Amino acid sequence: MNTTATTSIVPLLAAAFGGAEDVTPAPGQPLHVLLGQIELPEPWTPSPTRALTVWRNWPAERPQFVIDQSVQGEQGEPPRSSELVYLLGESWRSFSFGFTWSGQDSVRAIQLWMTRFVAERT
Amino acid sequence: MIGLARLPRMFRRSRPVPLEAAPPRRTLDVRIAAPLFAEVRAHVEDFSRGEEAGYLICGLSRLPDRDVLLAREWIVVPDSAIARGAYGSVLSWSSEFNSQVLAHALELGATPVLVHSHGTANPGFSADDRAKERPLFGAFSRITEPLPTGTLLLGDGDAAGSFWIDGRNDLALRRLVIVGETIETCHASSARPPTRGRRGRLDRQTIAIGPDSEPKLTDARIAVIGVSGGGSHVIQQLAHQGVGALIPIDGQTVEESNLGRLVGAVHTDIDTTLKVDVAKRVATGIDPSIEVLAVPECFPSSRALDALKGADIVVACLDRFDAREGVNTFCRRYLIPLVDIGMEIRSACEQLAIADGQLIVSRPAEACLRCWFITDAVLERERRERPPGYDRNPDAPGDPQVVSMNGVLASEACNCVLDLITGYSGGRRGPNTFWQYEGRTGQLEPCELPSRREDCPGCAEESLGDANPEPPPASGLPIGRGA
Repeated sequence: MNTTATTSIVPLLAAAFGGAEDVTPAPGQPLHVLLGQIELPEPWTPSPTRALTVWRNWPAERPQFVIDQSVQGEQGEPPRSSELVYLLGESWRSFSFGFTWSGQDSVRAIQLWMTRFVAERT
Repeated sequence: MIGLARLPRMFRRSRPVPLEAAPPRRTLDVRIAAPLFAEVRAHVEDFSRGEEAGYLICGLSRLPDRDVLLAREWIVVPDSAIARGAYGSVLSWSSEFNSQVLAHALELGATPVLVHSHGTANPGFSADDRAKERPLFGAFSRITEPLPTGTLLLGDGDAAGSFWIDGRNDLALRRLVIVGETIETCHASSARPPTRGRRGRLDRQTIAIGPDSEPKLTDARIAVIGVSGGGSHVIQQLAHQGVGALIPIDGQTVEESNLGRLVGAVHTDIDTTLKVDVAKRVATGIDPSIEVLAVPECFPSSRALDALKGADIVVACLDRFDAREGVNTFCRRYLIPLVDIGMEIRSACEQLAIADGQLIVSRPAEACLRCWFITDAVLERERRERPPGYDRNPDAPGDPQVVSMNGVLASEACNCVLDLITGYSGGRRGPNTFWQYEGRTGQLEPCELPSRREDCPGCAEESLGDANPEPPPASGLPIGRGA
């Protein structure tokens, strides 16, 4: 991973999403950024919620994006095509979502992931 | 013995604390990887200059009934800080060193544990130890709270401990667990497990592997994640072997196709019975005294994680690499040996084309699955080919399976568990903790485990325990940023 390329990620995400914290577990590991106040569109709850992003091989690959495991839709159901993953000592929800990736900026990468919740409203 | 020289002002208390602490409410284990323990033992049992001491820096695993301190790092008290025979103690050292150690532990979201030895069996704290621990750990524990802190005294195959939390000497050492080729347990003299009656059903096994095996197996608590094609064999054999407590973890219900490989399942279970309930039925059918904590959820649900923290060994029988990666990281965090089995069968035109399996025993302080086996490329390929939710797609083709091939790997996995608990092999397995299986020829070949990877993400979380980025109130810890 290009360290220089990730240096600006945390402040950019913090400005765009109301707070971001570098929670990389150890030196030499890919950048892990916790977004504490991600806003989800209706009917998803809770909102705001937490999301965790992992910037492995950035910008060649899109970041890994997972959300708090408590996120649910109107009927209390988790997002479709999702499952729990274990990251940084707790369970998070990862989900399938395809979008074209051409090395956009870090804020745009998260915005693209977030469109998944607009695309599937129930 | 232990030294406490000139506590800094911030640690002093103007009012004396009552001499007799309240009766212990909780117990505490200390878990340490064998290579790190060897360093500790070599230092504190070297009496060529007199007594020696050092600090273990530990993460925490908080269980409902006890705390487990997870040793991460060993810091000896350096010569430059030591004053022998000063302040009425055999061994003293500077308060500055204590402060440095405490600051380092806090930086990592961890806690310090002082370790020393008197070089005797049946270790007991001296009057000097007792006099000095109260001001030191009473103060430390208010700062490390909610993590406990305290002191460990090593004996010959025995240990004593005195642990503090939030200013109270309130935690009793239950056992020191050393995780290596076998899991060695030093029970505190005050916390020896009750002797249980001999189980006649194990007589033939006891003849084979020795009389010490039965109580060790009875005390063992083994988690099995995934109790279908591979895991159901494992549950059955561990129950036969005499393991005292089993934790089957699986969120699925028995389907018709499972009857081709799920040991213990019968046709009336189809669409009605959870796989973990089949596991429980099999285990308690063999021995009703086996404690079975069935978790009808998939890893890594919160309930599964809570149950796994209490395991002595985890056996993973999973078919997804991302789940295996998660289990691997979990086991590293909690210093739990992981026995992983996996089988890949592929067919071409309904002919068996590939039947490759592997069995890996991953012990703390040695290479983990993420060091070499589960690579970024493997995970990326799985994300592409089997994205989240793929396994719940009713149109997805099921993986080919052959029960007897699963059984080969499962049986050897149970031998590994048996060896970890009892040491029956006498070290003959040596460094080989990786086997490759070729199902078409029937070859099970031992291979040498690769070295640890410097920047391995699994090893990076070793002994972090409960630490996570945003802890729930009153239980979690801030994450450590590595040493």
